[in-house]
Amino acid sequence: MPKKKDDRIAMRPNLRYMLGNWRKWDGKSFWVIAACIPAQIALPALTALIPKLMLDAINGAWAPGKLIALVAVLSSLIAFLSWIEPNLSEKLRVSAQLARMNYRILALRKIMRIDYETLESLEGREKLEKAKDFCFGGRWSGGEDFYDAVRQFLASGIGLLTFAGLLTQLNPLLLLIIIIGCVAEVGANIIGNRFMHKMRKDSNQAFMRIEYMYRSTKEAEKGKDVRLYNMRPWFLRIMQSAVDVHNKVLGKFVRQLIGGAVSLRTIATLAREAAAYFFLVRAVLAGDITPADFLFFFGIVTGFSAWLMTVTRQYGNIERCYRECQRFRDYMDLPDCTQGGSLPCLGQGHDGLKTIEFRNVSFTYKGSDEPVLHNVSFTINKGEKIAIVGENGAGKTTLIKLLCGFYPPTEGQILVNGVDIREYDRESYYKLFGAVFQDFTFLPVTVAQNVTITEKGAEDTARLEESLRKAGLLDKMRALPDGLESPMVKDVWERAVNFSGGERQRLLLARALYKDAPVLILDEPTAALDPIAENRLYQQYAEFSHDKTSFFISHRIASTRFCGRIFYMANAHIAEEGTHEELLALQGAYYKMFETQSYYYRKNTVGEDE
Amino acid sequence: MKKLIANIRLFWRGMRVTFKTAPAALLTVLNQPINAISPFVNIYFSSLILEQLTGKAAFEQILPNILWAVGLNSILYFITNSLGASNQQAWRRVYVEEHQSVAKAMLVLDYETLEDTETQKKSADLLNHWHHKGSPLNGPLFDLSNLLGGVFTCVMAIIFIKPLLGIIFKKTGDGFLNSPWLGISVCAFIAAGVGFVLFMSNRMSKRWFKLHERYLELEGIFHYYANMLEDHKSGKEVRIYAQHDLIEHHATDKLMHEGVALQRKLGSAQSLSSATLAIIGAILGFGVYLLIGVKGLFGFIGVGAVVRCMGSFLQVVNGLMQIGSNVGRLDAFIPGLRYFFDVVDLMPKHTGGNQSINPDGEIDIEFRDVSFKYPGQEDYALRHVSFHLQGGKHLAIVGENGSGKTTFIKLLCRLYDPMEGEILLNGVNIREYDEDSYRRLFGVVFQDYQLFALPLGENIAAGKDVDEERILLCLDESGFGLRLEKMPDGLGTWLYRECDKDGVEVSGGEAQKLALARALYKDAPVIVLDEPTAALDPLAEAAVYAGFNRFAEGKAAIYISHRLSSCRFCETVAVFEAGELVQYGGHEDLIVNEDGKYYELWNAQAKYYV
Repeated sequence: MPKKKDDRIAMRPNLRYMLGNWRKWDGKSFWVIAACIPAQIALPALTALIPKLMLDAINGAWAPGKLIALVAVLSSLIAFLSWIEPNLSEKLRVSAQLARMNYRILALRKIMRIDYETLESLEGREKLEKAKDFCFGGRWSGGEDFYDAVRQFLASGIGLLTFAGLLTQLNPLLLLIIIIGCVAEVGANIIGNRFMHKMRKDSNQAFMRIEYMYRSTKEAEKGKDVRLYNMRPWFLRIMQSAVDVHNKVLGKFVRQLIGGAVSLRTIATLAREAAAYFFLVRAVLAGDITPADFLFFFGIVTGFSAWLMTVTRQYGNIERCYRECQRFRDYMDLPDCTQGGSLPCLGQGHDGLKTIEFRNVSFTYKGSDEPVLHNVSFTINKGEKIAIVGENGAGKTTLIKLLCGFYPPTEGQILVNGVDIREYDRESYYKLFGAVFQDFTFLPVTVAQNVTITEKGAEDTARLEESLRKAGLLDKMRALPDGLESPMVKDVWERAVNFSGGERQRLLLARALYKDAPVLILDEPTAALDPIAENRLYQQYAEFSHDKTSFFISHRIASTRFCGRIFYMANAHIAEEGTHEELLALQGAYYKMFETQSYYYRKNTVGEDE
Repeated sequence: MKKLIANIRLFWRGMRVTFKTAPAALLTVLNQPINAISPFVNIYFSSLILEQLTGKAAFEQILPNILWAVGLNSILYFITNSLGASNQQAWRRVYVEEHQSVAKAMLVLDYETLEDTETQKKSADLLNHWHHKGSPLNGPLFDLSNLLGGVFTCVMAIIFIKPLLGIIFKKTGDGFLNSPWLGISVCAFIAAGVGFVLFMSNRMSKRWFKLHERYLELEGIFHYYANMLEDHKSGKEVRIYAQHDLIEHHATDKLMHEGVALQRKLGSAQSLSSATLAIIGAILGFGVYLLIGVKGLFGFIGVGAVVRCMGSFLQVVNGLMQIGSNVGRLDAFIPGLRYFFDVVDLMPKHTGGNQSINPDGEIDIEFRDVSFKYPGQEDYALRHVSFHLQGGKHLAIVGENGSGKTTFIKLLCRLYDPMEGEILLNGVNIREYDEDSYRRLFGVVFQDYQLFALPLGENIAAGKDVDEERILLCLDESGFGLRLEKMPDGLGTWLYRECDKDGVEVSGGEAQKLALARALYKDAPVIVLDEPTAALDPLAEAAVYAGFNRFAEGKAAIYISHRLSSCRFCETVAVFEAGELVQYGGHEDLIVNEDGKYYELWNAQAKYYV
């Protein structure tokens, strides 16, 4: 059965984990629970008791003064209980919410520190997706709901025992019938949950598609293609068929639920109530209890079944919560990127880096059998300028990712200053690199903070301005309404500035320059630049990189002119290597690529024959 | 008053939409009122049975009452549970319908309206509401049901208390306990208490919403970061630039300080209101119990009536609480409805005319003194552009970033209308043409082309009806052929993983090839390529150009590229600078003008290739 896998999740360690965290974050909540439970039990008991007491008073023909006293005591008791219960519940609600907040923060921290390869892998993404239920699903997330479930479970459990104790005074057969009725109800609940589970599973994909279609139609970026290719009929059809599937699944679910679970539950209720009336009336007629007691016990019977229902429902909730918790912890237990070596890598000083060496490095993505890099070897000395060119998919970006330590080589070693990079402490190793990657994100903070990645006040203003100036942005940024303090990311700040593609790329460059790391890596920095801006970048490249070791990846072969050494990559390895002139003289693949790209730039060629 | 009428209209409109989608959802309103009946069944029959028991009736006389009680309860139980089940699916139907109607509304908007900041803000408001408060159409039903339930409970209770009402205002003897003043003062107390509860809960819930709103703002920032980090693409930068501290500080510090404080405030606001309710309840309880007890003690009402009155009184308290906590929310669902209808009611600003075009006929496009600026911008994006493109001719557009190239394309495709001047197709203003028929003329690959998380083949055909042979041909032409062989389900493979868990991710280069194939498949008389090869290596680029030359044979074609080599195989080149068309002519003619922009652009790039 597929359910088996879930069943193996152990309950105890997860309960211990969640309760341990609660004690750490908000320990006094345990006292709040302890205070809350008696109130929760006393309220229904008192509600059942009041009519009996009043009837006793009337039947006993009490003096009015005594009656007034009784009424005063009872109403203040009710007031007290109905004040204390919601009050404490509210405290617990806040505390549970706080716990979820803490879990979310733990998750956020983890995502930032997890080993990059795992983060990027399908497995890692799936695990994250599963872990999210525990703290990103709103109020019903396990990380929040657990604490309420525990409280309700305890309260109803104790309530159940108390009420059962009261009922034992009566016919034990009554207790038995009530329990059987409740078991049937529990069974109905289980059936209902199974239907629900199946319905969720069956309708989930349709629901995903409906939401996706909705998102796709409202986003302006997607709107151009949608209109020019007249995708409207296509979209409407996809959406309609998803809606049809969704509604069909739901319709079936409701029919099943009413036919199965609801009917069963109704029969159980009927049996329970009939038994309660029957036995209690019999008991009065037999003279075992007074008519006033009839009222009291009737209230207790009703209360008892309510407790039993709550106990089973909350047990189910606790089960769900600890399963979610296990998945959360599975993610939290994934290896961190800091779990590298312990050797501190060079600090911020440039003198530290001497050599970078790839020794027979091969790399294959998990779950694939084709290597992306195959037996790559080279040594680079401090200050060398490397250009990496080659076809799409030849392994250029993967090489950079390996160099940055994002992936470990499948075979071979990467050495910095003769030491395998696995020996270095990962966070200090990252200090080696200032990089502009192809995909990028900006933080919803100010322009200055996006460049410096430090809090306001901690930045080096001179260096910040110098970096922006080098990237050709300083004047533009200063001219913004809030200057360098202008916020970024429109989704978060309404006042945020929108930058063009070229400006964004230059901002990324400024960030890399501000970091002033010994190794500068630029991955396709010119793709969005016009010829003049591209030319300017080439001209300035020498200035950016004069005291650095640098890597420049580009589809534009012109970029190689400024690099002392060129790696031409093809079929997962470095096929050709040398200076521009050397490689041209070789008349190999690089030569062919250069010729292809320069073909149309030559004076006397006419572009019709190809 | 006017506002009230508008709100009621809005509400009515919402209900009509719900009725059309899932009439069962409207039954939600009955939920609480029906729930409110069952306590009274027990109160009524247990009091009857009690009367019979005190009157020493035989079991056979009591039995019909037992049967009535159990039977009624079972029926009610079945109804509420079935209603609950069918409501659940109805809500989901409504929720899905909301998404579908928004998508439908978005799809008929013209691009300019879609992209408009106001439209985007409206759509963001609605999304926010969905996230935090759920469905705007369902929301009112819950609140209304709770409110009606409360009212219903009170009405039922008053019916039950009626026998008491008959005697409390009569003088029944000496002393205060027997004078009508007891009844009058209790009633006055109740009236004052109810008034106060209503007044207070209204204020309290307003305060609560305000605090909650502020809390959601803080959560919004956290969510942005969480979403950003979940997308593994940000992971490289987070690690290389050690962004952990900055992110954690911005994402969580505020939430942990201000957020927690707000939550505590929310909690104490809630506690305060429950405390107040409890005290009022105690005072009222004292009065009412006393009244009932005294009348019972003095024998003015029977035991049955005493039980009924007391049980009913407890229900009155419940009912009032329910009314109190919901009446303040009544206008809270208005914003949600308004967000929803604001989006659904969006209308396209410009629609096409009704002239249709023969796509096989002659194509002749003319820009006549066209100027344009983006809404909300001060500077013109295009100024006084005039030019002529004839069928079968190939045009290259070059210029620096931000010079107006892409804007030109957007106007040509009628994504925007010019502010001044006109665009003519075969001598007729393009506004006169039917939009769909006009857009059929263009096969466009935008710079930020979009593919959808739907089957690969449908993506190429931009529709459900696919001509497989032609798709394969186009994919070969765009260089995707080899990759297709690795797709698990061939053309039926879903792209990305948003809509299908087994979907396949494609790289940037591959995606660009798919976008090209889509343009090829459309087989339109005018081909427009905006930076189609930015992500491609030189060899793939050359192959695409060659393929397009074949494909664009005899068609009009417009290329925008930062790689000026493309100008060599176009008859004409248009050079844009700061929104103006500064040069226009053949490459050979333009290149000789050494003061021209074209000369500067060309040489900035070409010098590296000669």
